[in-house]
Amino acid sequence: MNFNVKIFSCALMLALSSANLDAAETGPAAMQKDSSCNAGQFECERGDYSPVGRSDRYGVSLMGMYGWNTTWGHYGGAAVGAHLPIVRFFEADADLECHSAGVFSGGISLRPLFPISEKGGTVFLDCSLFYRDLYKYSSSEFVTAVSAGYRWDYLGIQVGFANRQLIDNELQWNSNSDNVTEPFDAIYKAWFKVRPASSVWNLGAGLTNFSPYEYERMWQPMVFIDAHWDVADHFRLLAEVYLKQSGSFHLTAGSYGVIARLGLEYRF
Amino acid sequence: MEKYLKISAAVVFGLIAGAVACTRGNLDIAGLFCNQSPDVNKRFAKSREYNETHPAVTYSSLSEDYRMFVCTDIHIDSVTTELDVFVNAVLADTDHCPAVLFLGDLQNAYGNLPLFIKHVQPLVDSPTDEPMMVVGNHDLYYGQWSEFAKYFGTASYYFYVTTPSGAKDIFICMDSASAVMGLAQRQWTEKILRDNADCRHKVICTHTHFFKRDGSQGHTSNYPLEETHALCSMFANCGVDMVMTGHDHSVENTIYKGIYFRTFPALCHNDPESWYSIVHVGAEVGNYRVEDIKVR
Repeated sequence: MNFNVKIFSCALMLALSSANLDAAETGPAAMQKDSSCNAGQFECERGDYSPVGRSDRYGVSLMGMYGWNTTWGHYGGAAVGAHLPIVRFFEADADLECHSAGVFSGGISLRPLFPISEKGGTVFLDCSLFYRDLYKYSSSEFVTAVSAGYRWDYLGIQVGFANRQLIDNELQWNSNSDNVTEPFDAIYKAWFKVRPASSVWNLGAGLTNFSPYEYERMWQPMVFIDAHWDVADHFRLLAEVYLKQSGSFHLTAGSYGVIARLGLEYRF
Repeated sequence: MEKYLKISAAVVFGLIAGAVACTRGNLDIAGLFCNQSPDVNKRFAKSREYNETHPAVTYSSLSEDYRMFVCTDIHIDSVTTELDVFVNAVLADTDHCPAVLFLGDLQNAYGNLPLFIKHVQPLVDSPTDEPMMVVGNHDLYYGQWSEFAKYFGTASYYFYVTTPSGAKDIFICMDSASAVMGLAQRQWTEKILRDNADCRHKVICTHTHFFKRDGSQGHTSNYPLEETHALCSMFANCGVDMVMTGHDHSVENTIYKGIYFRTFPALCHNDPESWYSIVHVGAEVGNYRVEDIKVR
């Protein structure tokens, strides 16, 4: 745990340093009109970058979710999230989810941004803390993850590592049992979008082993499809589907599960 | 955009071509996307069908504690030196539990199971030894589940060991060769554990290990995390005190939720070192000592 705290503290300091680069700007990033964007009754905004399709506007989202896998069968729940582009070169996300399989999870991500140029995309660092309580099993997980990535209008890639603790919630002080630390696991995400990031609607797909609601081991890839549609100036419809296989790296792959989320984001 | 689509198509084509090119090699590359053997539920149904005409066996130990020979990840292809050493060690030992555990990955590539069986035959023929097979992921490559089922009949079964005082230990062999147990097999295991709640030791024997606490082997995968949590919880609630696994080719000792999870080293000829193990099963619950014997 001390190692995790140190890593996260260093990342937090780095994030705050980059935030100070533009400390004078205290609100959302300045909106710039894109004359090439034809959005109908409301304006597009530039710089609509985010690994999860969110924007340079503050937003809170609420999504319903449905899942099925061979371990839990059918289950459903809800997720809430917040996106905070605090200053021009720094953004943060927070997400919570609870579902009927007896799980609630929550995570925060801090993301200093390093734009390369006006059209050259953005390099970013991602520092995340994630906690998942599987209360049905009296178990929980705590993950700290650090990764770096590059995102552009159509493409993005993110790689890093995560440290995971599997926690026995019923562990007694005098037990000879212990929690399990998996000290090094890789996280990765690669995605593409069919339209520029500033579009009113967009559709994308990719491959990853993590999301705001779970951090899998590196040999459990998930294929995902996501979409958004700005139905009004302040409202964005969000949808995503994750397909998970099991046994891929056993070379005996089979379908394991699917998760679908649909919801709305209010953008300030 | 068009350029990126072309690159993606080329990558997918290259992967498929690689899978075809690697046909019948050590690695079933097609298995990255699709298991060429039936899924775990179909395999379990086949095992249950066999079990109906082959009830659980009970072995008698002459003392309250006893020794059990265990090996894993033998990966037989053409060389059987290490397997022969193990078999001879078992035959030469006169005081051990008749059940001799093989925790999966018996063969490499395609068509090597008959060679494995030929070199294990002395144990089959021995009146005091009974080889117990667990299926591994390599045993499913190239659709070879049918071969495994033909020779061994079942991948999900259990057996007992009784002691002079009347104590009974249960060993449940589970099929985790495709990194999931499946709902039916989990329910079957839970029922057996609850029906045998009075057993002294309850041991799970399966191929895929549960945790990844170090960088050994790097690519060896295990269960999805949902499955890991579900299985650990079920084992803890049902009083399992030891889980024997292989797959990682590296020793790992973990005590989690009061259960001793033990990953055994590999007997594989192609590894830098080859090992087998002797598990000393003690009289008290949770009392185990494992002795690893280096072959090479």
